[in-house]
Amino acid sequence: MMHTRKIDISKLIAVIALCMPVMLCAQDSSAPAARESLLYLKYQLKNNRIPYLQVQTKTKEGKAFLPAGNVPVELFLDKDSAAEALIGKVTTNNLGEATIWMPGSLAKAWDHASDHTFYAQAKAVKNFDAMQASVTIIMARLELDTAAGSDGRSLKAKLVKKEGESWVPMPEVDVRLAVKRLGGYLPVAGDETYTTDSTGSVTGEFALQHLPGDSTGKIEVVARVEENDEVGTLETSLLVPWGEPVVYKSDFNKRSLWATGRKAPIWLMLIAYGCIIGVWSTVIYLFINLYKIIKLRSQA
Amino acid sequence: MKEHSPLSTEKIISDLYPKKFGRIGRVWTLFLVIVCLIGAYAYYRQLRYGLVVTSLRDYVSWGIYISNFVFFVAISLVGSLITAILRLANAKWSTPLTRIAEMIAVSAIVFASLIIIVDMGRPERLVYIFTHTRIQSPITWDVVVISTYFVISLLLLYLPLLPDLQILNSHPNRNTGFLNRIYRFLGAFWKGTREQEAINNRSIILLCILIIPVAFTIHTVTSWLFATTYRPGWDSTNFGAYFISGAFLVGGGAVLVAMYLFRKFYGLQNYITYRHFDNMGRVVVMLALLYLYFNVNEYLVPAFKMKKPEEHHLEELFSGKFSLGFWFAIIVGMIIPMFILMFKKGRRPYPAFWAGVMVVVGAWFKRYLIVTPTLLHPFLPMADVPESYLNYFPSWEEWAIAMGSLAGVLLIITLLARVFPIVPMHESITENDAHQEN
Repeated sequence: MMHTRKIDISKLIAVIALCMPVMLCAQDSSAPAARESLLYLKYQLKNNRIPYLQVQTKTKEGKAFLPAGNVPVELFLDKDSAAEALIGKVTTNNLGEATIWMPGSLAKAWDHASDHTFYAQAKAVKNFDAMQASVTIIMARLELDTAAGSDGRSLKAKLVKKEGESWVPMPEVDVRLAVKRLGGYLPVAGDETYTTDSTGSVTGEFALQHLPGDSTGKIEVVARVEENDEVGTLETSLLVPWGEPVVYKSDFNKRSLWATGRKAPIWLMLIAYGCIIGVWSTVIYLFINLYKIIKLRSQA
Repeated sequence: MKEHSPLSTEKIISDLYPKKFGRIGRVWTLFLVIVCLIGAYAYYRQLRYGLVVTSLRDYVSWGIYISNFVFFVAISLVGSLITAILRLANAKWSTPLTRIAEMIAVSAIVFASLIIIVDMGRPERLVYIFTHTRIQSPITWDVVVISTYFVISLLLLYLPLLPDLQILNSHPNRNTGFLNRIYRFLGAFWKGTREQEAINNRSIILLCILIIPVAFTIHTVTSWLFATTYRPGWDSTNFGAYFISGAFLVGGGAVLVAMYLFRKFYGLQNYITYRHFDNMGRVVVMLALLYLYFNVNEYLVPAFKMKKPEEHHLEELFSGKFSLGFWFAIIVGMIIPMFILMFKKGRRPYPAFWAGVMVVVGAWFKRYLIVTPTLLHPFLPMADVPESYLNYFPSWEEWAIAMGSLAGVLLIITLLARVFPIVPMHESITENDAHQEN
């Protein structure tokens, strides 16, 4: 047993020694890392209104993905270059992102079919190579409503897609039911997502209590389908009076340490003026004593 | 007074009577006047051309002027230490030192007020502090407390002087005409009656009690000018106590220096004796230890945590471009004087004088290091500003004004010492008589 182990270890050392030059060459950091340009295209629809596209440009250098800003990108609907299919031209910002809404000029083309393909063509610039990307989606609508069940308040969402001239339910799609907060989306109950049934619907009980809302107690609830292969990202929101009214008290022009002199806090004025009056009363008393001393001159 | 060697009243009066300047005195006064005039010319330039003649910019807006202000406020606290605290503690040995302490206090507080106006750049705007007073602002508290402290210090200098003024008025032939007019104006009404003495003694005790909280307040409020500003190095709850302990130390050091110089040049060996140096030396050792303790607190605790915004500031102090000044202030301003004065031989007049000089010089640097490095290390990075904003070294105008103000303090002390007895004559006679009776 001992003999076998010795042989194995020596073989292993020999293999490592043979591979060492290859490994060193592979780790040679002096060779410039190859740059790869990446172009992403996403379809989004909010409140079933005008759809918009999000473009993202990145470069991959070594193991790092870096945003590529200032990249001009042209976007087309259903055709990859025709002028009449041009949605618009955008330039990515320093985060490598740009957004464009569907123009009214393409409304007819948009309504003409139930599914569409978007093309993005990025032009070659100093830090980015010429790239193309496309995404195909089926036109869909996400509807959101409230429902008052026996067990309290609920949210009901329905996802339908366009087939020919009609809208048909989409089953087996994940939908998030949440409340929009400053930092993101807060699920209305324990489940992160709900799966649509045969009618394309999901229902989620609104289990959140005492959620701070606006001044009238309204909160914004949302239904979201996120980066679905068929329909893209859809979000529909609704204002519901299910929160607690939050009224912000303004301290402006109230008595405070940071207000103007005339609005100084009473407690501070009492303490400060009390000290000043106390000390200066004593000083005045001392001056009176001095006056008494002067008056005593005549008696002397 | 010298132990076991009672002196005659005439001898005491003769020894302590204000003396005309000798050659050294005249040269010294002339030197101070020249430095003050150079400072006044620099201030004229600052008024004429604006604060741009200084090195003060957006970041370091408090430079050498505010360092000087804090230094003067600190040194003025000696009046409350020697006159009030030691008097109330019944430490009778401090009697000959009270007038020196009060003279230092009054002159320092005068220039503390003036240097603030210099720092404002536009002196006419001083009136806004009164017309737009915000009681919430530490600057308002500072103005109130400095003016209060000035009045109280002046009273504490004046009331114990009344019996001495009677003596001065009774020797008109020894005074110049101008001095006779001053003495008559200030003390002709003092006849030394029992009622007058009773009222005067009562007033002095009341003043001694009153000046202690006011003195603590003046330096606490000064420290709050910094501590209520959220910046590395100033963000401390200890600042009040830290400043007060430092103020007492520099005041003690200044008294040691003044004791030695007055003793030497006015021939006061019979009145400011080894015992006074010995006792004052012990007091300074205690104050140095106390201030050292607060320094350890102020620097060790933030250095232990080394929060990112504090890191650069502390590194600059410990080992960066301010390190020379920092370690000078700690070692020369506190540790070496403390070691000198710990030993009996070190508490003799000459070594005690040098210990006092080290304390005072170290204290001036310490104030500079409290003010400037913090302003150069704000929380937000300094970006897109001219090069001159990133560093601070005072211009010649600032140096001239600062040195002029220091000379001004010394000039007031010198002139007060010319006009009034440095050691209280009446108290010395009373103590001498009591000693003879015993």
